[in-house]
Amino acid sequence: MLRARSGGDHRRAGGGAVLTDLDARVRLAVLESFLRGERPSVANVARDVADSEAEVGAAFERLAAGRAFLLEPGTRDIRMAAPFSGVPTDHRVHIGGREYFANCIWDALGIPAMLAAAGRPSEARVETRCLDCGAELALAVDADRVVAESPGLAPVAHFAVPAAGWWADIVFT
Amino acid sequence: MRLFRSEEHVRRWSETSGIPVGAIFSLDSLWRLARLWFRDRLAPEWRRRTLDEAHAIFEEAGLTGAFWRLDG
Repeated sequence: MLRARSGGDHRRAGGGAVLTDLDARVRLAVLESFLRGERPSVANVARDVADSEAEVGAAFERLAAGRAFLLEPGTRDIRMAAPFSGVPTDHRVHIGGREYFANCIWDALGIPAMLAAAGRPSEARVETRCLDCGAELALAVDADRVVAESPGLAPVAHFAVPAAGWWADIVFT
Repeated sequence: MRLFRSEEHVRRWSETSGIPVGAIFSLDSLWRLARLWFRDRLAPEWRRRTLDEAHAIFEEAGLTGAFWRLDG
């Protein structure tokens, strides 16, 4: 079980705080790296933002403290940079010939939603599985709607944990 | 958050796993939530939302009640 490193409430975790210029550039570079199909590291993000690995590593730490990222314990490896997962999951998103892993079904739909809002190609196929029976569930997403690919199927979303408890164990919600 | 084939599958999983049923909602609601929550994620000026901003998004997506309070 991977637990968030920082406790406390949403506001203490950085809600509303404006990012520094470097942190904002690092955050975006991480998302763009995922979009290129990579797993972003301090080294390749440092190259992308033309700054030192020491400075970018410190930015990773600040962004994790502010809950923009979740790092693997004791490392600067990104486990989560919502909506992306740094490790394979049950939630796969196919867009433009690339496959991405999302942290949950909310994040899986968040990838095309994020791209559509930015005016970028966002038509997607989302694949996941029913946690009860294991059946594959596929969704087709375009700019306006999401539909289950199997005719007559009306899958539902389920949040097991109330919002106030999400960050006690963000991997299980 | 997970997707299930139907509400019946959520309830069966809950009985099997011993994990109580939380909040169940439609694919349309989930899509509304995703579009609202991630609409600014690629904006350079993105910042983490305040509690009030997050609650406003849940409400706009039709997700209301104590379950959706981050400060509950």
